[in-house]
Amino acid sequence: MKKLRIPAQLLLLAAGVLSLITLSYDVLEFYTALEIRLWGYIHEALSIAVLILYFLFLKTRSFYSERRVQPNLLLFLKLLASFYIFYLIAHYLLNPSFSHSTFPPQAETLGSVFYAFLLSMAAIIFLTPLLIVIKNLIYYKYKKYTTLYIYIALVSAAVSIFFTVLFEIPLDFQFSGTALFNNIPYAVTIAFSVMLATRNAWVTYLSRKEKYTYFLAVSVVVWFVFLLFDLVINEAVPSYSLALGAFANMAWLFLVFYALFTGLNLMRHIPTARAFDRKMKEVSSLHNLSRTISAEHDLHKLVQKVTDLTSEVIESNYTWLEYLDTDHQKLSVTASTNLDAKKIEELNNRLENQNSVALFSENQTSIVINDTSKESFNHPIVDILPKIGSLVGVPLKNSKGGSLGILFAAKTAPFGFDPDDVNMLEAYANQAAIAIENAYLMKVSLERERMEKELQIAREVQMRLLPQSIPTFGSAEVDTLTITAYEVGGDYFDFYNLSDHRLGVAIGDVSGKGTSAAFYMAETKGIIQSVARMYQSPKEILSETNSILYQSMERKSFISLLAAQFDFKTNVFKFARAGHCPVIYYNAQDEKISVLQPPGIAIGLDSGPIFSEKLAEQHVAMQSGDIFVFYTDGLSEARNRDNEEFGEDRLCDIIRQNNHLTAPELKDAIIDEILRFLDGNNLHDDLTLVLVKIKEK
Amino acid sequence: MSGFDISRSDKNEVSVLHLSGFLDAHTVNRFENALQDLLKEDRYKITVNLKDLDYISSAGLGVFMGFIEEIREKGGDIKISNLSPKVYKVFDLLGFPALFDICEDEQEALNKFNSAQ
Repeated sequence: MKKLRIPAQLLLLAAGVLSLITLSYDVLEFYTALEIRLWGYIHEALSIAVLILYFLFLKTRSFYSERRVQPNLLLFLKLLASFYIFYLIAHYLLNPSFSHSTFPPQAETLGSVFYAFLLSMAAIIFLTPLLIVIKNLIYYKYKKYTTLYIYIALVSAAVSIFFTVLFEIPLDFQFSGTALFNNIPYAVTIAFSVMLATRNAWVTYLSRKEKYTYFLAVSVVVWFVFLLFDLVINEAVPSYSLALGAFANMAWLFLVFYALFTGLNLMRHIPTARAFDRKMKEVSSLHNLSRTISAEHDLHKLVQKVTDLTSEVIESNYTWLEYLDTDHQKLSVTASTNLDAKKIEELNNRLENQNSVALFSENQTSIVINDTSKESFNHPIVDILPKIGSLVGVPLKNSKGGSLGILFAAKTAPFGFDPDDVNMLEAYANQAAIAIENAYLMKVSLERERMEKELQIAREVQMRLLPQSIPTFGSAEVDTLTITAYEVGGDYFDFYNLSDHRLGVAIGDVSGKGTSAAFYMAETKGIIQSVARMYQSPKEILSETNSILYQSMERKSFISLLAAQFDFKTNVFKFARAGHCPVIYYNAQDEKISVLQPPGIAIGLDSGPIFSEKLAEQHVAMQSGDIFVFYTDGLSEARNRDNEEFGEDRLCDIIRQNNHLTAPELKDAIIDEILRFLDGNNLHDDLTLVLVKIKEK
Repeated sequence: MSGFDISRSDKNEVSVLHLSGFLDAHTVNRFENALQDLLKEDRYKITVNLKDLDYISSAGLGVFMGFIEEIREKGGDIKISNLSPKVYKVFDLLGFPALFDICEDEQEALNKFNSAQ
């Protein structure tokens, strides 16, 4: 349903017109002694209509739903002052006089008629918004029956107004005749006004300073509110309209009640204002701190925030946080408030040479020094800042109960800290400890993430360096296997010098891991691919590779490398081994397995002479059915749960037992055996396997 | 994995480092620091006793390579003694016996240092 919206200006206009009608009648009545009984009631009804129209107009204003305390209080004062000013001007200009012989009072001059009209309008114009302001203050803290009470008070007030008009008697609890009827709704109105007047919860949440100033202000305001009756409402308003008179009367009473109770409540709160203020500050600062903590992951900014907030709440002259370096068990200042850089440096130097961790490591409780001149305290701050009169130190504990550091607060005055302060500091220290621990964990996990990303890149580079396809030959089967371990990497293999009747195999393992291993691997691949174009024999290829790589390698790094050459035309297999794992060779004719390990040292260990001297090339005459297996130590050193190595022998056994299988089948058999051996254990190194089986002719 | 330990004993001019446990990428720093300390004291005649070493990774082997050049330039040496067959296999595979003096026991290493003077 669409609500009917009447423009605010229209409401005001209607109210103005209606009030002017009543005024013109009053003027007419004054001059002609005209008396129409019925018109009296119409006059009252019109006055009430003006009041209601004006109220509807106010409802459209923004202040109607203002919940904040200060704007409401300010508006209250403005309205009160305006009312008085209006009254003083009207009174001075019109100089009214009323006869009190009858009820309601009668205006004795024409000026008085105008005066009565103006004051009645003023009562509507100022009292209505004043009541709304009080309503807003009551609604600062909504309670269950607040709205009900307001309606009861309003309805009984309306009934009172009705009776007042009907019986033409003042609202003053006369115990005679018809006045008794009027007493009941009037009493109900007052009772509920009093109940509503006690609803001033907003007083509680004022700051200490506000409580003092408002109390002084309200003592004055109460008098002004009280005096409103005599000065403003007493004779003028009832003379104009009894209904408005009754309204003004009750509104005034309510205002007096509310002002009085507010004053009383303020007085009641003054003794606890300081403690309340303090608690509020504690709560809001702890809230502030925890909000900061969730938003701030920079450890330094975080601890700075901790000391700043601490010094603000505790009102300490100096505040600083000593952070414990767990590696060296030394404390150092990480954040401070009001300590200059020179003092911090001095303090850090002194802390370096003093084991102040011992201060807390035993029972980890707070230290309170009430008077530094009387109590001895073994901390360098006493020498650096002799001005300090009292200080508190509170340990920061991590979630496991270990020490993270100490939060210190110091004041120049002795006995500057009460137990409340110490509790507060402890609460702060606990929050700070959680935050610091979180920030630290965050840093560690970021670091780990970065390293993981780096490792992943290295991994990708490594995978791209490996041959993307397995070469196929009429006279041999080739298959390969690469399993990468989580952390350590460095396995490498490649094929080179490929033609119809030739196959070159290189396999190696770079010491080190991650990015550096990937770089060496890339370098090795490039060198082998180019060197193999100029040299045929594996020994030459390896010697050449060594002399090139040796120049660029870090001294503590080395590469084990094996180069092999299959010639399917001459049926000769040649290889040389630079510190790499041996070749497992299955001789199909003799049905014998052997481990071929000619001498040779790893690449990067020697610049050339010893390398070439030691390196030996081995030649084998190939026959159909022969199997050659190349591998890295990730295979032979794979460990099971009992820390047992897979070993060369196991590999030899599988090959011998499965010599009839094709290369891919044999690979699967080896994988099966390794998986059975590992039994769920992880590989701690890369594992590479290259199988070559000579086909039947 | 079990831990790693390192102890040092000085016999006149020769310093003996006794390694035990697992020497891998995680424990290699301690071996490096121990050698670094010896160099700081200008002690260049070093025997590394591997009697109780269970495992050595390529990072562990790298430490020997990283220091040997400087030590030999200063007229010293690193001699390796008491290798278990398993650890010897690793040294041998990579060709270390061609580059380092590998001795049966500490005494042999000490004798070699003394006779070289």
